[in-house]
Amino acid sequence: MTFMTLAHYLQIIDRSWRAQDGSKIASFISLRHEHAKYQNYHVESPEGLVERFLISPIDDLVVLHLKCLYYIAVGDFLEAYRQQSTLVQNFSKILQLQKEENWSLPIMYTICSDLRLVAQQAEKQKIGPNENPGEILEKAAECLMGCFRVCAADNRSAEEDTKRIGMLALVNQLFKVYFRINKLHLCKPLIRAIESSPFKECFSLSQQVTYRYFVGRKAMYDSNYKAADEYLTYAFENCHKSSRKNKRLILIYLVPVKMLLGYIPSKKVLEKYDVVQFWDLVQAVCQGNLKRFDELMDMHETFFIKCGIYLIVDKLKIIAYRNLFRKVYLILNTHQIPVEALQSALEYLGQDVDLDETQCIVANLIYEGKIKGYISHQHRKVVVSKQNPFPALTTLS
Amino acid sequence: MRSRKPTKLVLSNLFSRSAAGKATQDPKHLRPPNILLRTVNYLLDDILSRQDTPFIVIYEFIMDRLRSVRQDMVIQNVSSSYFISILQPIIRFHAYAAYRLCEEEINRFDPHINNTHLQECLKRLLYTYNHCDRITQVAEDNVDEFLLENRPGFEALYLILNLGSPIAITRTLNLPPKMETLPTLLLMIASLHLPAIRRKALETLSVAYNSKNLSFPVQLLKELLLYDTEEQLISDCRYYGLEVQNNGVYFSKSLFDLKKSTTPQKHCCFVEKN
Repeated sequence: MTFMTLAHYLQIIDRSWRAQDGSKIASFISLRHEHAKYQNYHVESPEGLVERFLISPIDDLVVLHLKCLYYIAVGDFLEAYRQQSTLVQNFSKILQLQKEENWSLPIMYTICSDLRLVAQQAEKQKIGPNENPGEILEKAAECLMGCFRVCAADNRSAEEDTKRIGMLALVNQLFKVYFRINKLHLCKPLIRAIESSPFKECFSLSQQVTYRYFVGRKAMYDSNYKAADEYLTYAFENCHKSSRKNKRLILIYLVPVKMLLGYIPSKKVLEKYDVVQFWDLVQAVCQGNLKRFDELMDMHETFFIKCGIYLIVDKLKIIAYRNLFRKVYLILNTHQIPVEALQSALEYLGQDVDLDETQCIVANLIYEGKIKGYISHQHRKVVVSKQNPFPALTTLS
Repeated sequence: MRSRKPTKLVLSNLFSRSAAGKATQDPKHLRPPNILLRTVNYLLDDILSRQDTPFIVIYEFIMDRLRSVRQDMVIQNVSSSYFISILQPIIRFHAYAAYRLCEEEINRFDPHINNTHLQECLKRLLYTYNHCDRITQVAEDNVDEFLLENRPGFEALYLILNLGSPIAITRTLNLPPKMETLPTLLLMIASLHLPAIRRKALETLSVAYNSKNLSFPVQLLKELLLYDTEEQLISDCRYYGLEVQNNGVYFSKSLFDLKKSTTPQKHCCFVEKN
């Protein structure tokens, strides 16, 4: 089976280039477009043919694109990556020369995203003795930074023609790379560039969603849960409803963050997005059932670690402690709770703690404002406030 | 100055920065990996143990020469096994120095510079370990066991050195589970975090045990926070603005001075005993 002939394909590109139709070229130079699958596009040396149809500088890009397709078809992703990387580099030079116009930005979006995808494949394939894991992705990130610099430096053009509008798409690609190779510290300057951009509100909604998903995750790792909640909630609410996979990804981070802030997800939502792993955990936390909590952490350990949320989820334990201690308080119905009573409750639920450790847990709860009161070491009592000793978690700052 | 006569003359390269217009790349001046390893062994076996010179001088000397070794090693990109055998002792040296010299004055020993070297070597070593993983996966050809036998220790060192860093913890969580109890070197590095941990603990306790009339026994607090002496604990408490009377600390939310910077790092008995 064949798609349109190569000559026809080149004619379309030629016409679109002259008409400055960025989106059309973008789809025809994409590795994910339909034409990429057909054998007549897998050409090892397409230079001669391409030059008959295309003018400079687009001819060079198409040559590299076809070569890249060829190497993907023969299964050599390392070489395909090299072609695509040259393609992006050459494109950034073309972009820089296009003063006061930004119609070619869609091409940049496509080839940059392709570059990252090819780099990921190449990572899996490389075996050379001098390569470190993540090295190809790191090089790809440098290449993306080249485009980013061109866009960020374009401050002369009028608002409707500015290339600075392309920054967010690149930042999102870079986030994807940095999160994959665990180089989160490199995100900070990118976030600063976007937050200080006058076009902050003008970027497309889909890009905003992606951006906030990553910034939210970053805030979560930095223990800044309020901000994480804000970013991830925006991402979840604005993510298109047909993108279930993406909504699920957002939820994996949003659920623990929300829970830390005292909000409990509904079972319906968790089922809808296939993250029921959280449901038992939600119940264990609400009931203060530490034994069940520990079991669940064990059971879902791999899943939590793979998503990078193990330590965040583990922090929910302090809320489970709070709920358990509240029950003890209600049962004893006194404002002076003996530390021994709390320790017995903990031991009953399989926690191996002595009196000092029990006091330590209470001390942290008081410090965080989750219990109002103080501990008397001499009397071995936790003296809780007469008014609202266990304030609702959602009221804490 | 030197009373000991050298039995034979030993020379070790001085570190020099690469700079424009200087031919550092002359292959004739590069030492092959086996010589580099011998240099490291000589420095750390013979020089480090010398008693006739203050440790700070020995440290300066060795640090400089090791840096030169690393430079030669990187330029010729030696094999993974040499990377591992050379880097491991260098890392131990820098980690040891970080603890041994932590009470030294800043103009004699800069913990930040030492830490930079330590991190740099450690990261390169971890990269090399990862690389070995890949070779094993791809070629199904096992890298020599002895090269990897110290890996858990160094992975732990990286984590402890970077306590609280999400990057370090993510790496460690993704490793195959294989951990042991802390060897002395790790205790040393861990103990350097103690001042910060104690400060956080005292701050938390000041809120939780906030009371004008009630106190917390000094003796118990000393044990909980791993202080060597009660005097040290009392001095720290007073430094942060807390009152100490009759062997009791009076914790107070309002008196704890959040503006005070963390107390300096100190040697600890429980580390030295090991």
